[in-house]
Amino acid sequence: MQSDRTLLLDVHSPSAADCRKDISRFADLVKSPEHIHTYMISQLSLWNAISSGMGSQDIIAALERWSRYEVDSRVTFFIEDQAGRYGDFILEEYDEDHLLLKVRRPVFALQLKADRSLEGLIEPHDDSSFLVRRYDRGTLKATLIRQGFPIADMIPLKDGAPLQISLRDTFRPRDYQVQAADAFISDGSPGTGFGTIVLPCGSGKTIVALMAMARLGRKTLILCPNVTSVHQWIREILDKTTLTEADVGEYTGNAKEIRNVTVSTYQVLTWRPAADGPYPHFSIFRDEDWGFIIYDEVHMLPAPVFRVTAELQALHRLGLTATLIREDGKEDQVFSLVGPKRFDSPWSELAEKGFIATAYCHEIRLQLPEEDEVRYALATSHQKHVIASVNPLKLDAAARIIGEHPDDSILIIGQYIEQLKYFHDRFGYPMITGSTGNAKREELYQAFRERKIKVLIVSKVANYAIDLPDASVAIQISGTFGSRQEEAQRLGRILRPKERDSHFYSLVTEYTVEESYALNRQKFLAEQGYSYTIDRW
Amino acid sequence: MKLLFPDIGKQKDKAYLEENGDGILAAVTDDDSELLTLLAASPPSWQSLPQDRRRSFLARGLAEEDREGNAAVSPLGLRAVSYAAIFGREGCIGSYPFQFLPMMMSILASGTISEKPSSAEKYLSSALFTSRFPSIDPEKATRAAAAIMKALLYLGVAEADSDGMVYLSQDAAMRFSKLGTVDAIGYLIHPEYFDSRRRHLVEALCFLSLARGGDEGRILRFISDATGYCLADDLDALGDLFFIERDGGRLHARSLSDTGDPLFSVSSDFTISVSGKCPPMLFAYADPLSLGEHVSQWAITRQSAKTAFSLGATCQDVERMIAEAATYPVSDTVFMRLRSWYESFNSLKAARGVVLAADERSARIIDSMSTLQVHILGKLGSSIYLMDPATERMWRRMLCNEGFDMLARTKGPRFLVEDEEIRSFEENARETGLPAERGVPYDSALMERLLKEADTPLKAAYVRSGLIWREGMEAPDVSSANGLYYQEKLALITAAAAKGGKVLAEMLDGDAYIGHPQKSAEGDEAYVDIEGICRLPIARIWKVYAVDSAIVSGKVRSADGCRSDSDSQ
Repeated sequence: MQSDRTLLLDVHSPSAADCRKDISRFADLVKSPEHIHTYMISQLSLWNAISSGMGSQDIIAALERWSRYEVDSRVTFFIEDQAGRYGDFILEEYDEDHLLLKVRRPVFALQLKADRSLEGLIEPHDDSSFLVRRYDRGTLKATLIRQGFPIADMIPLKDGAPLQISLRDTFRPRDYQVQAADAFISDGSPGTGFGTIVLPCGSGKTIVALMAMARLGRKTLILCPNVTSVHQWIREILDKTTLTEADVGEYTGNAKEIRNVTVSTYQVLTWRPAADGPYPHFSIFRDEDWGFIIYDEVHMLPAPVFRVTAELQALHRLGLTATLIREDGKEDQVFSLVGPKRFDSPWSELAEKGFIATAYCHEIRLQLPEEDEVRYALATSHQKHVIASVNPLKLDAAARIIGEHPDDSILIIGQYIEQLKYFHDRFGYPMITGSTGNAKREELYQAFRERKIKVLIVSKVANYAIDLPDASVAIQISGTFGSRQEEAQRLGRILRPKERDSHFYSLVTEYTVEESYALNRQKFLAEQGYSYTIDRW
Repeated sequence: MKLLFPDIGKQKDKAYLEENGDGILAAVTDDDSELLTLLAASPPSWQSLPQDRRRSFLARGLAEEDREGNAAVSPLGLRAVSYAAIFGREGCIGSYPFQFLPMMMSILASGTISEKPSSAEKYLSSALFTSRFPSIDPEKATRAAAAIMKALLYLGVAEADSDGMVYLSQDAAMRFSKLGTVDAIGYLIHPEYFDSRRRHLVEALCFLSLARGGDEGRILRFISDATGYCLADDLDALGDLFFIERDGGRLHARSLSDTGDPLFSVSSDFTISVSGKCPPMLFAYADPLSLGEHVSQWAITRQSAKTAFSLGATCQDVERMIAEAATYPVSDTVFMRLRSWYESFNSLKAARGVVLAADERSARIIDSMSTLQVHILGKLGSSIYLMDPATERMWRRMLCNEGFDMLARTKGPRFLVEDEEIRSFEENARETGLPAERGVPYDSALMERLLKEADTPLKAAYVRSGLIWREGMEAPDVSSANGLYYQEKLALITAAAAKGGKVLAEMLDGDAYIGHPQKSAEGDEAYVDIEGICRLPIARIWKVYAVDSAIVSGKVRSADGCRSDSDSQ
């Protein structure tokens, strides 16, 4: 325990598992490489713990129990101070259009009155309370959290229309899935029933969501990153719950079905005919009596959806993701609008237990052909990335990898369409890009699942949420600069547990900018304990 | 030397002391313990002790003196010394932040700080810099960093390049990084000292590192007497460098002993978690991320690898150092990446050197000289060599020995190569050699009982002087003069003054004092001088006793003390 509120957990200690269980209640897991896991006690993590019933003394006692050294007084002060703030701001029902924000300490009330950033959000009601428009609930919470003032939202969540749903007994949830669902639902008291679950790709986040749906039994809206994942959700719902096709609707470009459980995409919701016009499909949020909203791949929550999400604070809401990294740095907004992180688990732990595949990561270094060296040297930095990425020697390298894995189902993933087409033309393997129609995509994915296709070439459309259980080799021939999230999500395509180990190959042109981008891309996975071998071909 | 107790003959000294040692030691007050401690640390301080103290120590067998007047604490007396009496006994205020200096060296090595004072100050006070040290007050971190940078530039450990950016000088940085903490602090607060003064400084710092809440003045005096170095003017600088904390006249030094579980964990995300002292060259091959109270975080990056290679380390060196220090197995990814960076580093090099052009025959000879090869930085052709300018003298001598005595002086500008003198003094610094605590503590309760039982001021004087230390011991018979007989008093005082002895003066009101008998210059007045208290004319003294000079001067008893033997008259 350090005075900057980081906790370093030595996983080699015999009591590491018990310690983790204890501290996870009030500290967020930051990273989990192989020897030392890092946790952080933040305001949000503390408030989350307090709202679930822990007291500041419980937290301090836990720290004293596990800390190798004396707990710094600054940390205990922070914990007591932040815990003391919880309850300073309470949000309650007022009337049909408004909520009431009660402020316990007069000095804070004065502060709010003088705060210009809150103008228009709050209206003084008396010396210690303010009126808040219902649809500003989320925005207010996000704003005050940023200023260090947590709001205890005591307004019961809207029930929404009831839904008869239960899980089939054809499968048994894993213990971490049960824990995740329990952490989300909790005891149903105010302050529970909304939040984010962070679990690795392939670990069954969908199951957690289905369990939450079954326990809540409410009309549900599910938002996904693409149409393929919409179809995957629908398949899973029909396969694992008692719902029928009549209960589940698709709301996408292909269909506009609104049913008790409706699965849609972020794209359709944020589509608008004019650049500054309204979003015609936002009405799906407002007009229906939803009781539960699920945000799949919540890290992708587009900025326009933030505003609507703020309005939907009255509903149970669940965010699912494996990688809560946003290159725009707005992770905090996700937490404050959808809800705090309720459960996460180190990737390495799940891999050890066999819940996700053991994956080996390889960085294959290739030379740039001599004829491209000068062109590369004289190119702009953006062009350098392109030249390095589309290195023609990657074709032979990919061919070699495919030859070394004759029995595996292989994905070739790339950034540049021309490069993918080149691979497609030379190898003859089928290809899916953004221009491939949804029906064709489904057909090819299905053929891949049935092992009728051994190798599939895909663009970044396959980065997220595509379930290909038997994929065991991924060859990344190019990527989006240094995106850590993309790297992690691509690895996620081959992490479904299976009988064979998985291999992730990243082809990198050495002595080019691609090397440094590759190093950055690998950061998140390295923090989860994945290490890359480096081979030069 | 007159022995106090008639039955302590020279032959019985050792046996007597062995038998009664614990009792004698239990009567040694904390003040006496402090003086003995100072004597043990600095024997020359014997001469500065008050004479009665010297005699008292000798009489009790706590010190030994040779014919030349040189004294030392005796084996018995060493059981009464303790440095804690001077340096304090409070708990430690925390460990020294060993990793601050390596972190600062790492930042300097990266070449991101300008030599210009204003730019350097701006950077060092920025959040970018101070946020790396969350466990340290930002202003303090800035002050410490500025002091370190200034000192390292002075020492030549850091230099400025042609762009005015500071970087580390290879050999000097390596030498500096191997210094112990006290040595390093000594160089940082006084980079300008010559060796002789530095030796005293380091010794003084070693003593200062024992401070645990002791009185600042007392500690500084002790150190000054023991080492000959006065630290008073260095306290602010030492505080800035985290060595000490000052609190209301008390001094605390941070612990220099590494008591925590050492940790050096290298993860596959290239971060290193370190607790305890930094392994060698960590500052060179890793970038500092944050310094916590217990664990610091570093990262191996391309840039930090370049720094290490620039400082002369090979990839194998770095791998070996990491592997040796690591608490847990290190992922191959880290080593593979290091090798890859090393290849890049070696793909293009720049070196300053002396070009040696040889004919074919000479080149064959040069190639065969195995001991010369280490001075060849590279070959520019089959017979053209790039020679190390730093060792020109050596390789010239070698060539001369091989028959190349016609080699002329090197043409062109001369490279200035200075040999930085950075030596360790900590290794040879004298330790206090003292135990933390006394072997036998002062038994104040026993002394109080003995004083209460002392039925005469004379006996009380012996108790206070530690010469009576157990029940049943009697004060020896001594000559005395009753107050009614002035001439007898005068004669006793005159005789005592002539011998240089002491007297016990008992007053009518019952107070009693030990002091030096003296006569006025004219000889017509006699009095007893009680050091630091008063001068008593003998006319006012009721009774006078001639006592041994081993009796400690001062007030013996107040009026409400023991019954005067004159009461029996």
